[in-house]
Amino acid sequence: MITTQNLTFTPTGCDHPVFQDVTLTIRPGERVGIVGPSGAGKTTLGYHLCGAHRLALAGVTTGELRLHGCDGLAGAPPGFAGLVGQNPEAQLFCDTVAEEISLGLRVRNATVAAGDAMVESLLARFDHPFPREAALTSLSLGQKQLTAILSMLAIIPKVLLLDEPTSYLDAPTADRLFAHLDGLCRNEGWIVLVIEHDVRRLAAFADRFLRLEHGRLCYDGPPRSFPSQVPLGRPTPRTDSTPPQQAAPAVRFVDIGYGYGKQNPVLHDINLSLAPGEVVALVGHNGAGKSTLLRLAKGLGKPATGRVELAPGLTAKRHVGFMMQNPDAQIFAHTVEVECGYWPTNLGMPAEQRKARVHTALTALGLEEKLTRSPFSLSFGEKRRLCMAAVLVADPAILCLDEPTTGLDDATMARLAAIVRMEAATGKAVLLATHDADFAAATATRIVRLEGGRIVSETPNREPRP
Amino acid sequence: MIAALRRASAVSKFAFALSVCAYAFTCEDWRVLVGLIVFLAGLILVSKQWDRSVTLIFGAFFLGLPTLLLLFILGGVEKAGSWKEGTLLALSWLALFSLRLFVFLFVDVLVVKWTTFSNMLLSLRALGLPSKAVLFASTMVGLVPRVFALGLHVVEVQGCRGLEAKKLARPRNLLALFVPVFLIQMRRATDLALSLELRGIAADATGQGPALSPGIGDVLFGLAAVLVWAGPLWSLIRS
Repeated sequence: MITTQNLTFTPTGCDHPVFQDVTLTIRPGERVGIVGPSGAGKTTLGYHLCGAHRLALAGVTTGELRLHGCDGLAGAPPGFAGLVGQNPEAQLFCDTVAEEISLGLRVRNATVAAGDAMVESLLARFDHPFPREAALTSLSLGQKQLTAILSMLAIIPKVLLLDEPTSYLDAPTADRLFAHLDGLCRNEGWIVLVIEHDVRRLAAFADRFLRLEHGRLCYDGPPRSFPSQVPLGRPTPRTDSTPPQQAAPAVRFVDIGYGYGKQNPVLHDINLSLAPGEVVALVGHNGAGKSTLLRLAKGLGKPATGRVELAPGLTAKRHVGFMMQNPDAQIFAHTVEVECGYWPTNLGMPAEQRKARVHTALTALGLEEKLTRSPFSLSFGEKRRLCMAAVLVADPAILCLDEPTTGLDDATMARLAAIVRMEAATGKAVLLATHDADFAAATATRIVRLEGGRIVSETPNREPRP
Repeated sequence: MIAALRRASAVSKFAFALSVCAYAFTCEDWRVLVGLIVFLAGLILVSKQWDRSVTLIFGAFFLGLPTLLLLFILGGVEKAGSWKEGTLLALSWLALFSLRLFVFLFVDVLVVKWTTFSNMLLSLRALGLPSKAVLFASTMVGLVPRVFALGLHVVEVQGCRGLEAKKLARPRNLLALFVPVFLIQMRRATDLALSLELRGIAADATGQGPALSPGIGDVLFGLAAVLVWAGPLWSLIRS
């Protein structure tokens, strides 16, 4: 059982609390969804509810927090909580999947056989999505996210906090995960706290929603009464007609084959072309090769077979913009403005022109008021938007977006979808890899499904006008 | 065989590395040293652990050779009395010293590449060492390859935004590489600590971990650690 009374947290160096006066009780077996816009304090509250705040956050917590009958302000008792954060890569440190999953058990004096049995049982629940001896470095980000979750399931905690657990997972794996968590809550009495932007998926799992807005708990109740009170604002399917494809392709993948080493082939016989103005959404299971295809478009890797052809006059270096999945790998500047203008600066763009473009790009992504803020102080969703702006600012002819919706709330996602459509309307070819079916439906003119590194279907996305 | 060796405890691997390094710096026979190098390089290649980081390590070693040669020549000339004899003497010293360093590097690379975080952690906990020391040593094993891989990734990411090698001549441009690497490592340290604490691997934990159960790999490493000294011991006994 988790109880809080007027719980308030103020980070070190800040005047305002991240969340304040949160009072609630969570009973064993409850499945709680924590929702709200980016930067609302969801993750911070989640850390408190599972007693990890003392380990992960620097600041002052006031009010009352009781975890399993103990004073939770000092932290949770050992073995109480499991947690998977937004960046699953950061909490993996073993070499193989089996090692990672079984480590928590092994350090608690479990035998090798017990650890192996747990690994086997957990992987079997997900139909063995990757070999147990697979090297973690060879996995896709979605597969790494699943491994991080399994490593926490293995320690059998009383409370499990998952921060955007499906952001990199494909839909079938996400459904399996929620079905498994549902069973653990109902049968074993686990409390599962899920921070998730996909409210519809979350509503199918959670029996209770907590909505935070500006640090205050503004909704605490069942999901069924949630949508009527708070408009979700998910992106809606695009209603315009698909662009004509007679134009010469901006980029063509011809008989592409690629692998990470000889033992790990990723793509086979990929033939795909994108015309200017087209938005092609790559969908498919984790590890299907979506991100790899984007990397090849940007010239980050040489295909083992075949070739990537760009339209005459275009170069991968200058005319292909690539937004990668992890914003932390690129952010370095002291202000949002400088960070956003890094590519134009490298291109030698005059200061006035650069400034104007930076303002336009940041305004389009809703970051115009954060020009002078340190990019490191932004929330994850805001960082993702900044990365998007930092690509758009150079006006590339081909836009490659790798899981652009990760960490974004519904409203921001809808805004991003509008921006993608707008960029395509100006003649850009957009290639995006996504697990979010709504986002794909809202942006794509064509949906290409990859399976096992091959294109298995390629369908126009023609939604009827409402 | 390779799989059994890789599964051996970190303690056995370190004992082997220590023994081989000590032997290399006492051995005067270049043929034995070359044999050791071929054997160790073969193990790294067969286990598919020869990656860019290994190439970089040996590249750096070769780049340092001219400086070493200069130092050895100065020493050789001082000892021999003439430039010609001194240079020949320096070359023979350098050859032997380089072979020893090669053995040292190969055995270190082998142990680091074959020792995983969990392997190290469980092995050291079994010895009953203080938890802080265990965690420090375990995380250090993977630190260099991890930072190297992260550095390459950040170079790639910033390269996508127009950063070119020639621009790195200006120290200011290095910020775009160093800041993300540094901050990701800091953040990673926080996440790692949190994840370890939640899994019961706390720095202030007390008590000993599960006892080591020696496998075939441990026996082979133990034998190898002893066998490298068989030749010198035999010579000692005969004399």
